[in-house]
Amino acid sequence: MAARTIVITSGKGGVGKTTTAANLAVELAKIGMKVVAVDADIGLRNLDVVMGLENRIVYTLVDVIEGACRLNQALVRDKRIENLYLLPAAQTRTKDAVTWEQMCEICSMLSGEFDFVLIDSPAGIESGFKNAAAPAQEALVVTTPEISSVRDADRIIGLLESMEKESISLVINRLSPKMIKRGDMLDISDVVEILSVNLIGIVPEDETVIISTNKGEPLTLESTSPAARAFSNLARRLLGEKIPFDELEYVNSKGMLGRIKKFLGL
Amino acid sequence: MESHILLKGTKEGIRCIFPEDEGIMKIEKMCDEVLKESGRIMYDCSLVIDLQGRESDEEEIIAILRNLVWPSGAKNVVWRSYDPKTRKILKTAGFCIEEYPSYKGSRGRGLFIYKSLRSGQKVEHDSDVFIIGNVNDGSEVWASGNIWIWGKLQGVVHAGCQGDEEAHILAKVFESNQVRIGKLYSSIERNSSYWSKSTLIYAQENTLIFKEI
Repeated sequence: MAARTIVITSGKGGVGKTTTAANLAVELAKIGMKVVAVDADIGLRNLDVVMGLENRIVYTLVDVIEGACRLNQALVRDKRIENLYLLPAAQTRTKDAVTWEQMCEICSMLSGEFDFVLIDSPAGIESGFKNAAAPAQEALVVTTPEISSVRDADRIIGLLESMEKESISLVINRLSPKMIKRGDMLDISDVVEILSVNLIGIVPEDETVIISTNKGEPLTLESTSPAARAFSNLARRLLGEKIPFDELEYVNSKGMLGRIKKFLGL
Repeated sequence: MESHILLKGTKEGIRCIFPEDEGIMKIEKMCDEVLKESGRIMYDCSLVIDLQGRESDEEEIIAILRNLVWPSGAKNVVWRSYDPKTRKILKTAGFCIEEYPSYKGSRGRGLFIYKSLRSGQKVEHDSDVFIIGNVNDGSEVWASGNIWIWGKLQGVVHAGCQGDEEAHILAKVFESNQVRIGKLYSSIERNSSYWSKSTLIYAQENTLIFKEI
């Protein structure tokens, strides 16, 4: 059966595409799916660092396209989890090194071998985005609850709609329950109302994300932090499970007040 | 309601706007009335005879010349019409015809859009535009006629984009930072009284009026 090919994109940079792609890949692999994460951000690759696989890269996606190696030679297997692979991008080349037809060909070759092909898209709407989005049937649009990020996500959704993607889902990243409560941040309902696409994930603001990125250990490998739980929920929703959107309540329950209430049985 | 020839001062001169639904007899009478009341201000001025969509024949044009234009003493006369037959008669007679900016009636059909416009998307249409959805921040609508939005307006809209300042904009929920009608534009602050309300926007005396409805 052909793999589900999903592009993780956003428009704006720095909203958490790569973190989402890495953690989703790990979580799906933990569930038992055979997953390959493809870094389509040629020239500015980061997925390898977030996944902690940067020391093991020999060949890249561009080498495969140029015929310098076979596809399976460029795939980096994650030794910590079975069934998880990375197809890294070249750091010394630019987005122009690949065409969308070549990306489609590579993903089509991967599709026969894997259950999920997750493509980490570069920021922007130029050729890099088009190369990343072209092979995918589905899209996960990552946004933070900021006006600029939501506006860029809206732009990307418009482009994905014009590319006739089968499904476009939304991940809202870096939500701060405190800021929402104070009215200083766009609410989930505000973002969903503007973007009018299916909400599939809510990831709360969590400092463990930065720690895990710097360590090269995706959160979902071991952590039980609110963000790790959110990525886990995202993976399960992607597989069709009905999981309630209680990520923000979970953050509150992990706080000091929440722990006291739990201790007192309230 | 009784029809009149409406006089409007514009930078091109005094614009005499003729009603579209009155017969030639009534037109002659209206010319006499307007000349009696306002003939003094027309003397030595530029006149714009705006027939709008009237289907005027040679006889009616001569009646207007005889009853209004010649007695007024105007120094320049320009004719306006968006009715093709009338324009042809005026052109054949050698009159100076001004391009009609609004293309009322001669415009194409209104454009209905049954979805929201997303950031980066732009709609341009030579007539009215009706949007059953939102106009999101970063999107644009340009229409030679009116723009009606049955949803939230956050993007930029330009009604009467070919110069028609009689066009208007209607939004169910108005949250846009800028709107344009004809050659006029206005920037809007978020603390405006009509922000997030149903709002009608139209031009009056070179100013955009925002009216909560």
